[in-house]
Amino acid sequence: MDKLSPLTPVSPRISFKSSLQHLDLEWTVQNLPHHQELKMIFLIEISRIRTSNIIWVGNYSTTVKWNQVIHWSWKSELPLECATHFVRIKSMVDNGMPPELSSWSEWSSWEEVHAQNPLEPNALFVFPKRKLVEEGANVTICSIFGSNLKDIFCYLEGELIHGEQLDSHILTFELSNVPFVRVSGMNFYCVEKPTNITDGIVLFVSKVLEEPKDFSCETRDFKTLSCTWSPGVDTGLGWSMQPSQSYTLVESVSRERKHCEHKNVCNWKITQELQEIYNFTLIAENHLRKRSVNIFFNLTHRVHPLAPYNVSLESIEATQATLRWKVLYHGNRYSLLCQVELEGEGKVIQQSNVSVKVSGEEIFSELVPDTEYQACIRCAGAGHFWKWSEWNCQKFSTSEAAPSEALAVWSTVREENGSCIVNLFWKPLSKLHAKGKILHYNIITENLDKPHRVKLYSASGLANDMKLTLDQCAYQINVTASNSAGQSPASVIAISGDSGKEVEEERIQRTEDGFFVSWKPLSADNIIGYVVGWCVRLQDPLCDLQWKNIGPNTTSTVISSDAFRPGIRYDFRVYGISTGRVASLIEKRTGYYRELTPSMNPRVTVKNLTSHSFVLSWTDYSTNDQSGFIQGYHVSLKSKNRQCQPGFEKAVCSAYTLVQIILPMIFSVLLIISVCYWKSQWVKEKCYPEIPDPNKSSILSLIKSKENPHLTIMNVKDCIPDALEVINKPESTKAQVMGTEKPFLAESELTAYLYPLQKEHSGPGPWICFENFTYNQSASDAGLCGHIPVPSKDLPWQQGLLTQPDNLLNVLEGNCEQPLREIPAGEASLNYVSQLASPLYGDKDSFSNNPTTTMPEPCSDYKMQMAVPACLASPLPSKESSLSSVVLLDQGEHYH
Amino acid sequence: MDLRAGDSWGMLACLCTVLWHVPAVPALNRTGDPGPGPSIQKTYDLTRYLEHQLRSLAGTYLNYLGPPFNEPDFNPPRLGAETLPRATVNLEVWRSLNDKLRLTQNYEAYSHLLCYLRGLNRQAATAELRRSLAHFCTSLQGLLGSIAGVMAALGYPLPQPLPGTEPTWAPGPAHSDFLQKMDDFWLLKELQTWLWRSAKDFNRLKKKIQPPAAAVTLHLEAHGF
Repeated sequence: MDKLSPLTPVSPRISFKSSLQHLDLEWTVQNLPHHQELKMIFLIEISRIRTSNIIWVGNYSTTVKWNQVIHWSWKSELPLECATHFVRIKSMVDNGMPPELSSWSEWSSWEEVHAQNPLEPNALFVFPKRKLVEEGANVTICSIFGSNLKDIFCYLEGELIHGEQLDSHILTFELSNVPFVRVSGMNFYCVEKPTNITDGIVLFVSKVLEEPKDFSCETRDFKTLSCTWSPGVDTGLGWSMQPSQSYTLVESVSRERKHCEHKNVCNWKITQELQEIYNFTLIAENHLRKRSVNIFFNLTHRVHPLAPYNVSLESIEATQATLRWKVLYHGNRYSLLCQVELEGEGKVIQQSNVSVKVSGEEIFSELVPDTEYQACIRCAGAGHFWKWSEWNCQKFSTSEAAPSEALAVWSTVREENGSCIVNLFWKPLSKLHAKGKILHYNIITENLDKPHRVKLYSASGLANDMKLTLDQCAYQINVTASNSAGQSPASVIAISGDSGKEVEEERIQRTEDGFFVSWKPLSADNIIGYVVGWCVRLQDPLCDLQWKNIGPNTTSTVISSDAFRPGIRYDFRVYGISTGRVASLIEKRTGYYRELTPSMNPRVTVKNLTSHSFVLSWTDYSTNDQSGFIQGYHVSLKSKNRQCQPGFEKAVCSAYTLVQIILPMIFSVLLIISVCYWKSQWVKEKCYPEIPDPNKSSILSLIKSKENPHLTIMNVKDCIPDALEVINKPESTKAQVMGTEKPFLAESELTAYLYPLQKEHSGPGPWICFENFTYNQSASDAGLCGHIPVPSKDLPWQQGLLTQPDNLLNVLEGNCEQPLREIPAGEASLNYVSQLASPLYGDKDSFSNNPTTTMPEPCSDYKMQMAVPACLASPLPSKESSLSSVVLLDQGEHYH
Repeated sequence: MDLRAGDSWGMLACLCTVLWHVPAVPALNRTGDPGPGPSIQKTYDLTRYLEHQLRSLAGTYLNYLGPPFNEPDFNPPRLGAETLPRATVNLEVWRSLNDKLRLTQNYEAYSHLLCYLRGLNRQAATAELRRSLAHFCTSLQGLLGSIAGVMAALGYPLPQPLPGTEPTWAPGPAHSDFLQKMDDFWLLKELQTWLWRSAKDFNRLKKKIQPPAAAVTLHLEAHGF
């Protein structure tokens, strides 16, 4: 096999594209035979800065014809402007033999590429001048500067960065994984200091173009396909570097394409009616990248029908209506499935599906008269569901029908001046039974004695009662309700002049569910049912009468109502309804929803005042004023400064009577007086034995006779030793003590509590408590006792009397309360008088009418007025008690 | 130079100035022909208002350019901005300017700056920025008309643009994007300096034109106000 002579590449020409950083080579092959094609391999070497600095070596294989110019490109990472590049080529015929057996041609000469003119000494440049990359790319930036420039500082986005010195006047910067920062690009610049010579570039970094999402096409009218998608991020950049990505639709069946004007929707005109299959490709494109998505579909599977039109309701009756509508016709082969819904009161009550080509019809039945409905309809492809159309809804109302139910009627009857006054009540019909707007109520009265005397009354549709004045009380009354379609069945009620038997009222308790009302059954043959009636608002003339119909076999019911209020008494009447529709009262019940404490006290008057007694009288509560059943009245007498407290004795008097407290008081006083008189000597010895008078001592008689008759000397040896205390009190003490006691003698305080019982009882006035035993505890706690001040008789002589026990009361009050509770009343009645009576009774003119006035009763109640507490009867060691004595004695010296 | 947005001093000063002179206008009218005084005042007020408006616009635009252009100490060489009319002038020279020359320089400067400013609008990538620039251009056009009004009131002819001196500062392939940004930077900076100088110019002119009697009337009216 002959060895082919080497064919040397000649005249390589180099050009460059700065924006793409491409080196473009062109050359020819010498000595190539005419009309002959040779498969050749070219070996290419590229050097940078100097020829010996080879930076790239590579092969290029191609078929070469005679006189053919061969093109080849090389992309440089480093901007070509920053360094001189050199290229040379050699070739070899590719004859299928191993390279070592073939021979290479000679190298072409080095071709030099200067992308930048020779630099001025003060020049500074940064390259590439205009660079567009995608986010995440690696970029090489270079800076070249003249010989006069030394201190070059370079900044990326204002931050100083350091590069690699490629040559004495070339700096390179490798930026890897560059981010998107802003549409106006990243700024890179270099400056020479101190000359401030500056140059820079803007690196435009684009966001990565995203694949369109949710690409979909559909038709609504078989004329246009509407294709939509989500475009993703906008990759547009400023300075006209890159506009926002564009979108193009390509349909491969018809081989048509369309540039989309909007970034998320494109309309495609359906021109070939026979084309059912579509294969769309959506291409998104910017300067750096293309992304595409594809869909393939049958047109009839992508039909999104328009909403039905001409929707109307026809033949609307009370219980039936017909819905009719039309849809857009899509050809005889294509039908729609329409969904019909009937809504009433906000709920879907009927639903059905109808297959339609042009128009449809649906009949609604079993509708409620006089009711508003809404019929809604939407459609979708019958063969293949894609999307429902929008709803089209129409409202309509059914017409009225005659009321279907008889009214619930009740009445009250009373005779007045020979006439019969009938208050007739009826309950409005429910919407279900009224079947329309009730225009009026018809009342027909028929005299039972004269059956042909019929009278017709009419009431407004808003009324629910009527007052009838009849000449007698034997009538049958028919009541009907009318609307525009007719009237209801008649409701019949009969009244009679018979007032019926007297029925005793019984009290009932409310249970958790309500008032439980029961009655004895009547003979079932004559009774068609029972009615329980009651009033909700007692203050109204018609009292808002309520009633409840109960069947003939029932003998109890529970009445519950939200209208029931605490403290109101409700009366329930149970009537039996005879076959003749006549009601007869059979039971009365009364009860409280919840009993309350009486809201007011009775008006009490005091009568028949005597020295030993008085009479309290009051009027009874009226039934309507009772907030609970009054079980009794509670009377108590209290000291004027005290309040009723639990534990005090009470007098319970039955209602409707006067309280008589006279007898026990008289009896008690007499008993004490008798005992005191009978035991006076014994009491005197025990309680206040006679105090020996030193002036009457036998010892003094000698001295008195010999010396000064006024001089009295007590010789201790002559006396039996006993407790003896001598107090020497100067005159000034008297005045001071009197001053201290003065406030207790205030006249206003005295007159306010003057009591008619001063002869027996000089203590505080009576306190009278009225109690409902149901609420005894709470009432007492709440201080509901009434203080009944009795009109005083301000007699001058009484002031002095009343002053003293009041003083004592105030002085002793703090000490006595506890002993009073601990000591039985029976033991506390004896010794008191002897202690205080001794000095006081010296003034018999003042005290003769009231021997017990000095008895203090700080803790007394209505019985304590006749008992003497032990704490007062025994000597009190306190200073206060001594002072009281001084006041009473009005003496400068006092002996115990 | 401070091109930061958010400084309300300019607006405050503008409002104060307007309020101060509201009662003065009828006072001046009382003397008959008001002369060029009100026109100069309005031109001065408009200048202060544009100063305030430019602070906001420049802040937005320089942030759009990115660092280092929005850094306060960035001071690049003028390079391509050499063709911009310079506002800075020697103080003695400025004082020695007569009214006609002072107004003519203002008019010529804003004519050029307005033309350059319209070039910025082409670079803006956001609609909001384009709206702000267009609004400022309209205001600047108003200032130019106002200066022309003052010159007409004083009887000075408007300068005619010489053929071949039309600004031709359009972005092209030879002009790098970075240098374009630097030119934009200098345009805004020079514009701000010009507005500052114009305020001084019109204030000086105002004091010079207003008669002393009017000043007394102004004082009295303002006192009443």
